[in-house]
Amino acid sequence: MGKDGLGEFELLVLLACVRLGDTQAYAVAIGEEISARTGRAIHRASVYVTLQRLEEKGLIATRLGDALPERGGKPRRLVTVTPAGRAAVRDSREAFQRMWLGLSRQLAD
Amino acid sequence: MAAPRLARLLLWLGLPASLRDEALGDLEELHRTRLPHGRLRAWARAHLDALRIVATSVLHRAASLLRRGPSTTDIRWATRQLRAHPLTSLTAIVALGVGLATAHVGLTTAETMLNSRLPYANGDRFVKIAVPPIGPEVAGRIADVPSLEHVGAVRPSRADVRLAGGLSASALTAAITPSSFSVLPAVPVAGRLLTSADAAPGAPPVAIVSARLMGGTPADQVVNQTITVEEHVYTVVGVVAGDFLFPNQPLVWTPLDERFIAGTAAVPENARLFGVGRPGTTLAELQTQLSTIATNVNAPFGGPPLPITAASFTDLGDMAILMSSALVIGVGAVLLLIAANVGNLVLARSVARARDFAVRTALGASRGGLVLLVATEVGLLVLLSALVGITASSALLRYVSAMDDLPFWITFRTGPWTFVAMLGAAALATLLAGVLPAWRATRKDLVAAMADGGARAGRVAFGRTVGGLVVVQLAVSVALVHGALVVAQAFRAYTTLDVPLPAGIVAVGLLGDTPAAADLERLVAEVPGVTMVGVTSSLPRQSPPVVRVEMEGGSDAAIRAAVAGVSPGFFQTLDARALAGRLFNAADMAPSAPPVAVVNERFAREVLGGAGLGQRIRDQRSDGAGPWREVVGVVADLALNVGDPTLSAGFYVPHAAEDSGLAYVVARVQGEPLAAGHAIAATLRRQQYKADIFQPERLEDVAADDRQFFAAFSGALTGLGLITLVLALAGLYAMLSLMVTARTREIGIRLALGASARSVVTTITRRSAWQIGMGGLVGIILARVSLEGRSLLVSRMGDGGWWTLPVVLLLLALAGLIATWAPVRRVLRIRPQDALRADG
Repeated sequence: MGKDGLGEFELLVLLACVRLGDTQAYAVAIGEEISARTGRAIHRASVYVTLQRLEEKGLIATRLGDALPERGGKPRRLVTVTPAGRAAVRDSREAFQRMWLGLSRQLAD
Repeated sequence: MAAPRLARLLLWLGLPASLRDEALGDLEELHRTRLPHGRLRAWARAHLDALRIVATSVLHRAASLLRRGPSTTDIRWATRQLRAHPLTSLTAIVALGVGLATAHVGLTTAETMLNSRLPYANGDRFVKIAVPPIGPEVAGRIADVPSLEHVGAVRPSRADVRLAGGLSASALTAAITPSSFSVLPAVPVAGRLLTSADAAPGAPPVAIVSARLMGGTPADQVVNQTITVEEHVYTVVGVVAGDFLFPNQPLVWTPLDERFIAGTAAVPENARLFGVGRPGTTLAELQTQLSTIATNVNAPFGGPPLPITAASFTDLGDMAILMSSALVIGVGAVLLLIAANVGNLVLARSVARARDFAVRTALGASRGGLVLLVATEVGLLVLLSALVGITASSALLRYVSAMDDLPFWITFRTGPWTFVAMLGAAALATLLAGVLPAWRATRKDLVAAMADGGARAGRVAFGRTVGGLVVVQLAVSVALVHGALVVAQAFRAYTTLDVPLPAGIVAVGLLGDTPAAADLERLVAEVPGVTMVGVTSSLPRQSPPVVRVEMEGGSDAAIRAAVAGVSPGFFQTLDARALAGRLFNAADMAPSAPPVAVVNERFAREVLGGAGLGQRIRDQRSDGAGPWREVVGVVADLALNVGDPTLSAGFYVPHAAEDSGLAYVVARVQGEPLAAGHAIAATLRRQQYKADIFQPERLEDVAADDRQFFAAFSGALTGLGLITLVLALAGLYAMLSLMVTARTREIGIRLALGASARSVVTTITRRSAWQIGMGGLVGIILARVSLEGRSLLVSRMGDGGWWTLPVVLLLLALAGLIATWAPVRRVLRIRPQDALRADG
């Protein structure tokens, strides 16, 4: 894992981007994906800020899609997870797994 | 249906360009999917979403900037920019320093006026009680008011004080109810405090003194000594610490009859009631109780309630609230004005650096980063300005605090709220003078600025508002500098001793029911040390009444002259001799004597056209014409009116004929004039005339207050005028500089096509020349209008002479040339090939 670890929400956004793929990952869809899978209410504002941060860190790359009439002629900003982003996600999973190891019994009801 | 327009506008205004289109598209997409679930709900969600997105974005960007903060590189760059443009940097520092100093003085004064309290532990419970003349019963009822734990009275005055064997001096004294020392923090350093027994009728006269009176004498050596206060002798029974002050800054306290507290005597004449409220009671509760007494007193007779009111002891009245509000508003306006001017300077400099900013943008700098860079530079300016300005304002406040005439509890200390307000003022100045102009300057496409040499970025226009601001400031500076010259000339007129007067003369004034001049002269002549005495209604260098004068058989032209009523002894005391004819004698003072006048030399020359002996004149006053007076003599100029040299021609009439109720005894004395003056004043007081007796002053000190006022006022006007002028010129310079930057290529093309440098310069400077001209014209009108109001300040002040306005306008023209010189020099140095090279 790199020096700067991923925040919890950053990890969720990256996972959502990976799941949605390069052609479907944009702010609205990412927020809905996270809400559907985690049951949390996610606001688009948080997604925008997180995407900006991830792009600054080089973990994602964004590009503008085609202008769409249902969006008032505005394009979508599509997100692609970079190799560095995928590596960061893997590192986070391994870190969590190491922390979880041996705790199943303590955390059982 | 499209997303609500307001929500789209919010996103468009509040988001950076990189996020705007994406967020607008998402808003449209989501709005369409929400519409089937309810239009109202979709409409509300759209607005809430937009608000939340904008708020989050703004906070995120601000947090990023703050986290980043100015780096050492930014600070080094800012310092370099300040050094690279020393003139504009200095102008900005001085201007902002003045603004912050003004804010400091104004806010501290306002806080002092509103929130002062006595510097005692129980200081906030002291109240002053205003009462009309009341009898013992009402006084007793007031003393029994449940809200008050103590009622006392105090009678401050200024008197001649002489400690045993020492010289007398004028000092503040106070008669006070002795029981009040139980609520005052007075600590005896020797002897004891006053007690109720000291105020009982027939008790030996005792007093306590302040350690400030002692000089170097040990306090215990003063106890049991005698002290004389206005001819009354007291025995000193105690000395209190020098830091005890109440009700003002007296040096001596004597006991005041306090039987009114028990309701067995009236409140002593001229005494002021005060009280100390019980802990926990409010002023409103006290006022209610006093109002009940006030109503009940006259109710049996059907009369109105007595005007008995209570207020905080340090309350300065409604005027204080009004002045405080005016101060805060005025301070805010001054700071805004100054910050706007500095902002224009910063804007011009920022635009001129468009290429530098464009390079930074190309290398990855964000707009916020560029703004932070400029804000760092301005922040440094504000810091330096604050250091300079607040140091000066603190010194000024310390000087004002030390003035004797202020209540002792007014200390002009900067309280926490003023400090917070000052920080806010500095932040506001940085915002207005730095952040906003920089935001504006980086609004355009800076990368394109590299291609066109800055012209596109330079199209940040100074609108009509800024232009109007420059004209207003120029006009105000013309009026202020003109006013300063007028006042300075009045000051010169007051201070130029072109009329030699003998030394060793003291004057004591009386106002009220004054006796005849002959009686005064006779009385004062008996005072030891007095060698000559006279009486006058107006001292030399004061401002006597000015009347319209009519000459018998003369023209109808309006002649205005000063007039003073004098006794024969006046001329003798001032060693004045008749230059023609004679001066007054005893016979002229008789009520039935024929009316006569003695004119001064200037009047004889300018009005009478010669000595004018035998001619008749009379004065026209508001209550009708006076009697015709025969001119019997001419005397030298005795500084009848030096405030306005055009009114120094005047005449004298016998004092018995003057009924103004004002008389000055002027006496030539042996020895120290003021000591003799005190003796004269004491002699006059013993006669118990129904008149106020003024403090004696030496003749050469007459109108010294006026001279100080003129000096200070002239200095203040000059300072304000010059600062306003500098600010206006800074604005001019900023506009011209920006214009040259924006039109560099145009200028190059014109020069390449054969235009003369002169025509190019004319084009560039036309607007600023118009503004200077307009500012001068409006300034002339302002100056003339304010000149008419000068008599509101001082009863007599000249109009400065014909040359004053031309000098001010010349100064304005010269200053305008200086402001435009640098931009014009840049224009003249433009080489067409360099200006056009940006295309290639």
